[in-house]
Amino acid sequence: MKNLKCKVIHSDSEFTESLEKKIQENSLPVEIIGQNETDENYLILDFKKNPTDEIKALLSKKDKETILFISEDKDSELSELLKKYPVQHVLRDEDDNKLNLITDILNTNINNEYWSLQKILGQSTQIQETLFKKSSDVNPLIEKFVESVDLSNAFKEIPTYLTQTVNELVTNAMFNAPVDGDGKAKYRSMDKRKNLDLLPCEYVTLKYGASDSVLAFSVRDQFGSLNKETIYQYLSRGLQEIIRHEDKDGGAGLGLALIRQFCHRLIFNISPGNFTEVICYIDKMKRFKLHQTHVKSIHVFFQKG
Amino acid sequence: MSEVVYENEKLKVYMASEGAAIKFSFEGCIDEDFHCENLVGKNPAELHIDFKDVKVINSCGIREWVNFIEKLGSAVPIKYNNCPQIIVQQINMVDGFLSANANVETFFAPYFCEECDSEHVILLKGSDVATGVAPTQKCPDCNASEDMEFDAIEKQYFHFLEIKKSA
Ligand SMILES: [Zn+2]
Repeated sequence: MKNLKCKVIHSDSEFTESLEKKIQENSLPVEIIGQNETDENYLILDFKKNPTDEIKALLSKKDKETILFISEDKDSELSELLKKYPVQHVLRDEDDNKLNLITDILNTNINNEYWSLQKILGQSTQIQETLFKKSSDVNPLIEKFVESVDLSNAFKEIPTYLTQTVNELVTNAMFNAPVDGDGKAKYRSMDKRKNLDLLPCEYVTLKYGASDSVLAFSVRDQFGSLNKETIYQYLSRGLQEIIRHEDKDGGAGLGLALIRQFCHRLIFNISPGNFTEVICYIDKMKRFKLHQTHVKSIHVFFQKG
Repeated sequence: MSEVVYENEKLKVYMASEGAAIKFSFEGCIDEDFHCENLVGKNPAELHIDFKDVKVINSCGIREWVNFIEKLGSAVPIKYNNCPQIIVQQINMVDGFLSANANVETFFAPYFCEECDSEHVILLKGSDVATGVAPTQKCPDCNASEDMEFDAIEKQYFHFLEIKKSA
């Protein structure tokens, strides 16, 4: 077990106190350090207004992770920010669950883990698994998967959202993730109208589970070929309010923007050279308006050395 | 009379004449397999596109769509009809999904009846929402005296009408 040091910059003075209490309750080996200290492993930052030079300097520091709070209407500014600074966790300031999320993030880091579907839903939740081996299987298997989902208490558009999101993630994992020995993408430029048969070491896995209030699923490739730079480029593009189609190389940005319309939390677990896993969850709310305005968060976990 | 003018495993496009205009009706999934060669070069006086039976559109499909709309050119007026919510969301988010010569004539919008706790999608005309306010609707399921509640944020959902106004 390691000790973590957190620096907190938040406009709400009670926030730091509540966080400290939460950390104690969970007996986490985490210390909140003073504003003048400089050896933080975590920067917890409230992004209410444009960052000052001082904050920019903190954001560009290496060997630390950042948890950023942002308000609903700040997406375009966040998009700009992510072009320059790797922020691992973006949480909504309006999220009632934010203290629990932070302690979960810290705990995950302390134990050198990822957020798995099983961990999110609880150990007793049943997880179902689907393997995608060729491109012609994608639509029929997704259709079968969506039919199997229990949609009680969820609103009518959920099947569409599930279909859209899983299609996007599986197609991406199939065509863009596999790389050859030199790290070159194998199928990215292939004519997608032709059938693609994956090798066993290239299969894409979809996992799904649900609780009373959440539908969660993950799509995992066996490559982990997304590097940090690319993922932040994608995140930045995906957060733009209007996606410009002339960003021809920004395909994944558009994919991410689509997924983000439909999911409330997005988690990227990346183990370079081993796997990339994207976990999505959708809160089962009945109304479209609630779904649209519900808090959304993004989390990136890179394998730690 | 309509004929199938384009077909792949997941998508069918029907073509029909509507006076001097032609109508393309899309049915299924618009994705990387959609290629528009058969649909361009018809040069009608007006083009109507019906999205009612579009089930899925993925990011590759959006790219193909923008490509298709570019190839149609700017001379022929285009009308989008029966746009489901997923299409409205893309029109609002993706630059070029609705070109300058295209307009949304009809689209589906979400409503909610608090009385019987039910969701409904109602077909609206672009002209119904001239002021950016959702028109009132009665629940088709129950006899509630109250109007249903518009179940989206008007400013976001009707964004495409604003773009057209400011163009
Ligand atoms: Zn009713």
